Amino acid sequence: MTKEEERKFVNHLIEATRSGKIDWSPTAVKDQFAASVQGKYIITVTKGWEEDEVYFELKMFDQKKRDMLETYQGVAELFQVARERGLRVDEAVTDILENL
Amino acid sequence: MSIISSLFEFVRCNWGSVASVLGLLLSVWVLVIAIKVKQATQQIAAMTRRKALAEELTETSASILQMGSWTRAQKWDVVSLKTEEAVSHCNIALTRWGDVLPEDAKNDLLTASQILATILELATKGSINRLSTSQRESVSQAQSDANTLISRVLGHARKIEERSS
Repeated sequence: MTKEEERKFVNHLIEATRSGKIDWSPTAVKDQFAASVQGKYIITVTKGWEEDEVYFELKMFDQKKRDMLETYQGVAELFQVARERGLRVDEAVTDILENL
Repeated sequence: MSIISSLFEFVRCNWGSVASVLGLLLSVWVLVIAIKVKQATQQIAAMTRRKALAEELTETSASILQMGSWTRAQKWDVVSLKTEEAVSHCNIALTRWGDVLPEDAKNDLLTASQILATILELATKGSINRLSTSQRESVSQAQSDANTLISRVLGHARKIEERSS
């Protein structure tokens, strides 16, 4: 896969997350969120640190947990939307705005 | 009386044709019964399969709940064992009932098994080195999230079960 294709794929995931088609959940690993699509593929996004530098990584696995894809292209934005979805940030904000 | 005697007369003269018609009617009746029996057997088999799915998911949920108790006690070897058990139940459910479950439910099962895999990773670390408080909290939270997803799939399975019964 070219970097351009990876970028396109990540952008598609961002849009699908924003439109509520992908449901992310936090995992036991700090700053990691997981989601599954089409009942076949697992995707994880992770925020990590290496030598004082932050990085964002996307991994995709098949049903048997075999590595299929690993990319860093444009994952920071995907991590942000996945985090908001995974932690139900929108619902919390709406709840506070309506009830406080 | 004359009608009955003429009927007897008709049967006596055309006994072959009458027997053929009776035989045909009997064959149709047997065929209808056989189709009904086959349908009932298929329905029972499908129902048993769906019930078994609900049982498998209930066992997954039970394993996750047990994991919670062992996590609080910091018995990481047992947590690992129970996590492996739960992952195995998820995989069985996906392999055996993947065709029955809707896509949303399959996604939930896959995500739950991924969350469980990360718990297993931490539990394995925990049996070697002491886990930090935040790591232990992450494990507990992840168990709860995995159980929520499994409960959602169980809801789907029960709905399918109810619709078919």
